[in-house]
Amino acid sequence: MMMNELIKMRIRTLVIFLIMVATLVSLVVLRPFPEFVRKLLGDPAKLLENLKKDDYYLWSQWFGKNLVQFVPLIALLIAFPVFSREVEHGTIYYLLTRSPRSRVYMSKVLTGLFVNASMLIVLSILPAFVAWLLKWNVNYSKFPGYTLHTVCGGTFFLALYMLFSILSSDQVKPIVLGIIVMIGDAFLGMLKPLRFLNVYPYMAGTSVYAGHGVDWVYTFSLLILSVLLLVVGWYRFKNAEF
Amino acid sequence: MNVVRVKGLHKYYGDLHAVKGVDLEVEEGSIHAILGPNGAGKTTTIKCLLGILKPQKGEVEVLGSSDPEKVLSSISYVPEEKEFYEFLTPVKAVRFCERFVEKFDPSKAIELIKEFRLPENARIGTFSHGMKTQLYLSLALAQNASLFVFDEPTWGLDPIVRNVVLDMIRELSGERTVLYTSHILPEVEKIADKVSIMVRGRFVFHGELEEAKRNFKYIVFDTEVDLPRNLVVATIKKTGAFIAVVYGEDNLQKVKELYPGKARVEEMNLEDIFMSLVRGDSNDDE
Repeated sequence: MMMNELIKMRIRTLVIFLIMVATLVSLVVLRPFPEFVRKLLGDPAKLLENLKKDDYYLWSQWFGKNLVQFVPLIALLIAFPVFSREVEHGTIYYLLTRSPRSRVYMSKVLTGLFVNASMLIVLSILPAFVAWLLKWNVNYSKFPGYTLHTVCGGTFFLALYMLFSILSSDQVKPIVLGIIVMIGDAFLGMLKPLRFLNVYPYMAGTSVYAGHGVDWVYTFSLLILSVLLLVVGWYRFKNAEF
Repeated sequence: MNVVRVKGLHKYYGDLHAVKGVDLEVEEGSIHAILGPNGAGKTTTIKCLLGILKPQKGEVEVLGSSDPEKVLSSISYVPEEKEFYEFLTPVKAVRFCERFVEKFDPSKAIELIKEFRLPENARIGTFSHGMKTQLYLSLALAQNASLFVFDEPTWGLDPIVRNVVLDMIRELSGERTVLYTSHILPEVEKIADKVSIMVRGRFVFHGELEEAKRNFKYIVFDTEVDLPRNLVVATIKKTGAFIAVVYGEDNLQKVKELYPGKARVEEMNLEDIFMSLVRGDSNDDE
């Protein structure tokens, strides 16, 4: 049954992956920054100096800038149609009258988690491979930490967007809600007392790069929240009428 | 033995009381049609049977289980919306079902797809409504189920394909049980062993078609007469005639005795019965 879910996800998974690989390639190819980017930055001498360091460049430009912005978007693209499209297109009837709801739910959620996590693991490890190919001087021991932060953050967003997908009978609402969450999360970070709600610094692996290692409290908090969201999603799906 | 048993089923959509305490029994090996106009509550009743909708009140038992989820592998359902995954081709749809459905016969599905002359490798998204219906039926009929539930299975099909589908459904009876909804009377007359007529959330008749034709009668009067409500199903006012619809020999005799020599008894066909039950009292002059 998970194979059927994988087939449904295959095109968007491939497109996301290709976009991300293209992004990674572009940041390698564009190094050092073209003149117009340097002009845009003004005179951030320290930043430009840091960017000359392979380790800083790779972390800041990939984990801290590109990948971190894509993590919620990848989760949204994977999760939003998982349930809502079945309801909108009427295919949910085929599934629910041939398989118990628990099996339908588990196969959809597990496939989503698997695809999301697999992609994020690959996209977190790929830069290490690129750096090795280009003989850049990077600290490879930090990559497991970056990967863990990225995957846990992505899992949280995926669980949240899965819930949106379950709550919606069309595909537009989960996309709109997802975009609101993505933007809202970054805005919340601007308010000091609510800074902890901003998941982006965690997903960027800031603590790992700074040498403080994995932020275990945040990691477990996100995992617990993800489980709770999936449990809420299950009860909603179990009792939903179609 | 009854494959489906429903007792006192109620279903509300907000304030709308869609199904009003219905009872239903479907015998094993029979083709049982639920006949009713649009909005009568047929689809809602079926969805409650299959666990897609949760009834507010009432008991439901399907294939001996009060939890439809436990017997899903023995049920094949064709919903009103015959939508399948549009990115698949019929051949890929068969493979999809093979992985997903427990008692599925892929060779039978392919055989049916060929019989319907559907393009095997074209995307379902490019199919017409009729073609999608035929594909859905091919997939549903390839299930080795004990109970087949069809919700308006021939809607949108041309007359030739419709007859083929009706023959296929007819062939299922005996070993398999078929529960079938329709608002197309000739179809029901052609294939159903038993019929339940549903109007405004209630069943107004359960029984065999022949029994219905035998028991429902028109009593025609030249002028309007006063009849007790417990004796008549409906009355129809027409120019120069007042018609009462009665059910059963007892009621027929009682009405005749009330106006001796003034009542003329006429036979009713299924369409007459259906129309009088659906419309209830009517004034055709208005």
